[in-house]
Amino acid sequence: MEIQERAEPLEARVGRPPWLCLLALAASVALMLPLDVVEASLGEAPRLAWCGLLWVAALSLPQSREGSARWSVGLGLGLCVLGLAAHLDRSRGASVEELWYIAWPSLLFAVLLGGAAARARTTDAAARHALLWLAFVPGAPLLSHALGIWGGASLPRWLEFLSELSPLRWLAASAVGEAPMPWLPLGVAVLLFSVAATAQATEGEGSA
Amino acid sequence: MSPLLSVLFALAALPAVDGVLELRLEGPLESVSLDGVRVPTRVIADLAPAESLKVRVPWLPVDAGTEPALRLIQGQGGARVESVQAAPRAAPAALARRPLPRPIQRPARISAVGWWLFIGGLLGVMAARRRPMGAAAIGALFSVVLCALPLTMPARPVVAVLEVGSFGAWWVQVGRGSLEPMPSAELELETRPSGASWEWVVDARDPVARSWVAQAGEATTLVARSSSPSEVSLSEAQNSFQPLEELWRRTAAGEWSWHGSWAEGAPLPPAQEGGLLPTWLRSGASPGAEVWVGRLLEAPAGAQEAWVRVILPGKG
Repeated sequence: MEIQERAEPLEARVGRPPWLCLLALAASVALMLPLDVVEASLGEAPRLAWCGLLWVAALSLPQSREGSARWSVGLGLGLCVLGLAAHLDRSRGASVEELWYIAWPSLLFAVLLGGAAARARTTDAAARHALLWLAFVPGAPLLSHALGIWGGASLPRWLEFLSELSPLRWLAASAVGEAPMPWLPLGVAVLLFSVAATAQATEGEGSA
Repeated sequence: MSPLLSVLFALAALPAVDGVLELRLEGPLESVSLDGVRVPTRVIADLAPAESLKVRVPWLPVDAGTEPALRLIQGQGGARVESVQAAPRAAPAALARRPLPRPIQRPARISAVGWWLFIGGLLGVMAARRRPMGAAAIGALFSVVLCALPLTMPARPVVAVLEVGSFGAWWVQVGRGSLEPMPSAELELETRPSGASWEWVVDARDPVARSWVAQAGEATTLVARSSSPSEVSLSEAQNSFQPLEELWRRTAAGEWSWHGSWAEGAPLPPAQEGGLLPTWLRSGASPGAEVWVGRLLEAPAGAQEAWVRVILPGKG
């Protein structure tokens, strides 16, 4: 049974998307409702960026070995949400170029980081993946935000650089129109995917 | 794309002041651009050989020392100036001091079709959950369809307000990226941020409809001001203007009241509870002035939303 799970992680028996994706779905829909509280909080910020941030966070979260393997179902739900968010942003006056600049990195982040989490969960590299994810995806930007904005401390250059590597930080910056080209966060996503895919391939060969 | 055909018509006889050119265009000719102007001006004609057309074009020469010229950029036909008419009246300074209109900040809504497609996509993904890559593919498909779904409302509506005061009645139109000013509008539009580049595009392909469109980048706000012949008379006794969807009134004492809709010819309805007045309409009047603000039931051509704002100076 264990061998089967390792060999075909996407075919596990769990028949529903991860609960986290359903939470992300509910939160995303709330962001797109014409509510005064949402308008007051997010203003003109593209909803595509905020929904992308929610879904990349949800899909990339490291999973336990027993967790749901249906990340691609979550990806399908997330794509529907991103499509609806892009439609809403267009009706708010955002240009296609502006949305495309947010959309293609969001898609790559979701596929690479989600795929990495799904592959790593059944391998011995799960802990390594989780640590890398924690450091590069939410850790560095949260730490720099806590120190810089809440603590008022001047940040060391290396910490600023580390936080710029985060795909979540890039999506948050794109929501306020301050995102540079996403090459560094994409590099991190490729790194995490490579770690998980390599471990899966190695263990697949070993078990064969 | 044909090459630059270098047919330059020096128009040395033209006075270098703002005005409206009457051009005679002869085909074959696709488009003409004006040289020596402060605002790039392009005329789209699409004339076949032997076809001819007269078109009015805004003329904003750089300065008196610049020799104006026409530059044919696409086509082998000809163009000549038949006459130059005076530019429309410039807007009074008092008008420019009033706050610019903005679209009402209504939260953008997703169309019903959008919501149904979204729900269909979610159900499709869930139905295909036993084939994970199929689920992702269905999600991608619905995502593309949702992105391509046509918009039911213009993304950036043009707002117009009929400003009435001691200077008379003037329409002020505000749009982002693109604006079709009213016929009597000033030739040189204001931009926000000031100094942003924009161009006049005169579409002469339809001989019946005159089409002057000001075009700029999507982040640029264009402002057109045009004098209006409308007689606006609003008083407690009668609405002698147009039917209004909503009406607010500020007395000389500074108290605001909302009166709901007001039919043409009817006396002022009694004040009601509610009715939040947009901030940009609330400001701009000096203390002691009486203010009438109404939302028009029907917007004029070139705007999707229209208001009237009457500011009567205080007595004494």
